[in-house]
Amino acid sequence: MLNRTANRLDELSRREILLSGARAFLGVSLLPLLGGGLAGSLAADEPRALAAGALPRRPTARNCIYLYMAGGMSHLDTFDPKPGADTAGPVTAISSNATGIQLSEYLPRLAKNANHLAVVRGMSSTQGAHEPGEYLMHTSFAQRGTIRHPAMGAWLGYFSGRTNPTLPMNITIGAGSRHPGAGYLESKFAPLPLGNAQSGLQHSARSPGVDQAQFDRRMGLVDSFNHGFEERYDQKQVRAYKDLYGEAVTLMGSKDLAAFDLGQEPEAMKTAYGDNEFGHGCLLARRLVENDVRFVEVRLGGWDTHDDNFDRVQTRAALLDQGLATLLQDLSARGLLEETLVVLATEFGRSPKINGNNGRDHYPKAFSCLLAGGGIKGGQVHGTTDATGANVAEQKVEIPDFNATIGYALGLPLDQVVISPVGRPFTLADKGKPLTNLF
Amino acid sequence: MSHPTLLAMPLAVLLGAVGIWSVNASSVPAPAPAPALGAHEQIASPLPAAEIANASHAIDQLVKADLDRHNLKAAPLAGDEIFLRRVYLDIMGRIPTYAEISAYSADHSSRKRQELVRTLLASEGHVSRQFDWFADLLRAQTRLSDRYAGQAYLDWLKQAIREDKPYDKMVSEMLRAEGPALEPGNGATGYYLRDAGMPLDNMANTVRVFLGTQLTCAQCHNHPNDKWTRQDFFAMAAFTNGTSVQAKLNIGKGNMQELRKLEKDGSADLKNVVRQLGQTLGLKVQNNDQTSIKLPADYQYPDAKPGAPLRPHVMFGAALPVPAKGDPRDVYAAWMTAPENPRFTLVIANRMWKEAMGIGLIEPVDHLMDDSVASNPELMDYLTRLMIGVKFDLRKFQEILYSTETYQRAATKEEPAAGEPWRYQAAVLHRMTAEQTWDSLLTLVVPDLDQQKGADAQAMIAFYQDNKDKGPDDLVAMVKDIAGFRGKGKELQQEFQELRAQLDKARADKAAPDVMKQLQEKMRALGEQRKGMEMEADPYKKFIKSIPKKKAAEGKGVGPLLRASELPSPAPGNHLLRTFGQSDREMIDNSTDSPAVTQALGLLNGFVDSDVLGKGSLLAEAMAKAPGAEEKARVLFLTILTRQPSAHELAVTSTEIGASKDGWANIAWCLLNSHEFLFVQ
Repeated sequence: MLNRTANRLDELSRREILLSGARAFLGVSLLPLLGGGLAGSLAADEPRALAAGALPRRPTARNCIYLYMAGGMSHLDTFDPKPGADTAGPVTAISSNATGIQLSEYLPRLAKNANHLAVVRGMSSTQGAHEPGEYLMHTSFAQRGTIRHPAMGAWLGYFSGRTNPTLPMNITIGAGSRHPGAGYLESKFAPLPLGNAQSGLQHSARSPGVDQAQFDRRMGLVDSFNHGFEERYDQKQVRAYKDLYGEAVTLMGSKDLAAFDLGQEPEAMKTAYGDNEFGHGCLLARRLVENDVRFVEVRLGGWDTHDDNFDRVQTRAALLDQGLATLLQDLSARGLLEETLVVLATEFGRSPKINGNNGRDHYPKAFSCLLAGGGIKGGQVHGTTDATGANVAEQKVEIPDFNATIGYALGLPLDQVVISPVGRPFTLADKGKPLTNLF
Repeated sequence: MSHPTLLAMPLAVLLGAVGIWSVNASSVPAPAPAPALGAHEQIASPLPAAEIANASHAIDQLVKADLDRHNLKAAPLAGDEIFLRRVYLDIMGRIPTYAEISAYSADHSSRKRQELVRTLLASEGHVSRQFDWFADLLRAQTRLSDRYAGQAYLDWLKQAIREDKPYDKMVSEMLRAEGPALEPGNGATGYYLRDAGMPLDNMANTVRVFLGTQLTCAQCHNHPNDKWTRQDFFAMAAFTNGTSVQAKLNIGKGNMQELRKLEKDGSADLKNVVRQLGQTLGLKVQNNDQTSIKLPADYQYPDAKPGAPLRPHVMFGAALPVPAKGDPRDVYAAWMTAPENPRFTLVIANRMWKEAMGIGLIEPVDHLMDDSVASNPELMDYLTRLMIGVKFDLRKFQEILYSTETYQRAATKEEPAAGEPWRYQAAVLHRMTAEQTWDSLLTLVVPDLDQQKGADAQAMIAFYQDNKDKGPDDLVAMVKDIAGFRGKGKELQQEFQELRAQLDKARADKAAPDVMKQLQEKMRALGEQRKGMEMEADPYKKFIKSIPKKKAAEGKGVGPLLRASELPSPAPGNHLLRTFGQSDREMIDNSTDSPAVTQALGLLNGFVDSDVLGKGSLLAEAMAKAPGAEEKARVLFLTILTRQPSAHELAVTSTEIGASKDGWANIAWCLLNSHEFLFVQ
């Protein structure tokens, strides 16, 4: 619909209408949906009363690299192997460098880095189809036709803001257009989507054939031309666009922009991460967090192995193994692992039963995810599944719990009620409880 | 025979005309009498100019009375240049072309503004603009519920706008939609395909979109700050409880089992073929005439038990008798779209007002409560009755709004204070929508822009019609055929890859050139064979591949040079449209005009240089033709900003243009990156 100045009025009046009712109903203060989110309002000289206990705790992680295994990663053939079980197929397990943790033979490099990993084996989801499963994993909420919930990167921006004033704070690499993004939060919290790691930040370099002198000349013309308009319409929305162009030009000339340029990495580094899209994505993620980009999501697809499961998982796992193992080593070597939470997530696992096409089908009842770095104690396993990997035997983790754990590490206020623009109260990980024992 | 015009008819007379609401018409708040309008025989189509003028004038009077009440003075009317740009953007969704500006300048009629409004509303460009508006409101996507082809729905929406289908009829067709989705003319089924498997959410959306009322909370509990109960919600949901989406290929259980067995034995991709055919030949909205719903298992209030059956019941107004048999949606749709439904008419009148004036009389437009008060209640009442008077003909309604002096006022220098009601003393400066931005840039690139069309559902509908009457045996044969061809295609693909590996090896081994050439030749032949086979023999692929029939001009790295309405809905995530805030069409009215740094980058270093200023664009051609620096400068100002340059601007810019070969491009680039381009005055 029309989005004019009016929409800001719209938001405000909407909020005002809601305010009294929501206060009475919830007994909480409302977070500002206008302006800069919580981070923005705290930065401004305008203290706002926050409900007691809502203040963020001290984070154990500043930034987050979120690796998403799209399609449903087979837990049995990766992080929860069941050697000897009928359901194991041809996969054997190997010991790792962490006592008592065995991984699938498909993950030899990660087995050597298991001292960094907290393997969460008791994951359980309520959604057995890809889209709703992926949505639930990203937002903690069931997918609905009436609302879009924010993903974790948007929450981080909303509550905590950016560290690098020039670069976007929330970036996805190869995530596709279905990503829930900012949900009902303001669009400025939405991730900047990069199609792939090698293409870098779209349009951040001058057009071919336009040299710096010509660009500067053009910008000079624009500035003098805009002057009259800015005087005639001394309005916030016009000033916002003036600032925007300033920011864009700063960004174009910024050395931070080099963060997007994989060409600056030595060949050996690229080889170590793997010369493939996922490897490039992990490498770019490291470059970005190094430059204080706070949330980076990298996607690796192809896990929907209804047929030919073992060959296909082996191929995918090889990419994951190389990319993630190198990422952990690299972050660790640079002293970044302590402040960077690395998450590995997927929508569901695969059925223990091997189907007629030597494949495994969707299996939300039990599966595995990982956490590493960012204050997480490495070399541990949380939760177990039974002998065939069909059921969670101990320490079941629902998806909101897993996301609450990410939020906990990032120091986000899990209990803070936020009112969506249409007046519905939410918390960032629904009612999830963080797995504090992992820290 | 002489009787009063509908516009002047008292509301009660109008109310009496419809059965459902006449039961309890007294519950409808009676609006204040409107200013008298001239008597005419009937509302003709198109509305006589005098009738338009009367209604526009009445609106202006109501605005003026409100301004007087608040000691405010109206801004003067905007000049022709500002008006022309604004009205093209608002009605056509793009800036006017050089030729359109010239035609308007040459028109010396005293009624040229009104005539322009009427012409634009009847144009194909308006279909695009209004489609964008509806697509955002209805979350209309090219893929519905992430699995069903939505093109027939999008086509249906465009056609409804094109033929000016009355809004109440449009809504009624959506709410009562049923039958095969690809039956010609049955695109309204897309309304239910959009929320397939989510009937409760669909009802919450319906109530919000058409009644401007938030019922979502009541899906799970009584509304915390409105009057709706959870039972109200389920009583509404009962109307559509028997409505569902089916996407099954009708081949019978036995056949299905046989196919499954085959699938297990061989590598043939039967399951996918069955699914794809089911989602085309079998795709339909089905209604089973169910007239009750069960309360959910977690129903928590003492007035009823969890799981108790509930009959359909409308959420406000007099109780509706719902026949025990037949589709309960008939009475529900009639209730919803009746002119006397106090919220249905008001909401669309207010939404249309907001589309024209930028700010609704009631804000937000979709959060109505019993005590919602319009900033100008008399005007709101008048517009509501006007909507009834024009019988929900949105084009007529818009013609009246865009012909008012209120619409034509100069823009205010001050930004309206947030949260304060706006009194419409002036136009409000606003950023172009994403669609207006993209479509306006395209007017500088592509000739005859509004007529350039993207994909439509024709080929898919033809496929459906060719095959819809096939019996189970024929369908099974078809499945096997297609799967067989795909299997063969896979084999060819494998062969192709082996050849490629051989070629790579030959290269590495530095084999003789003729060996490599031979391999390349074989690969080419295989590729041709595979392509030809798919096109010829796989009927499913054939129809998929034939969309769009005509290939649109491609930009450099931006995809087809087509208006937003002709691109996939929504556009891909990295498209300029999305950068500028086009809705992802996941939530109602989800487009945004928030600034983002990627917008500036996109205009500074992207499409403007590569396509707008590039060789072969309309602008580049116009520059090649325009004689002399001054004329070039004039053409640039007119085509980009819809105005003549000032003397000072002319001097500065023509010097720049004369100074170098790139001069005009520098100026064009500068104007396109200016606030004046992006903001509508």
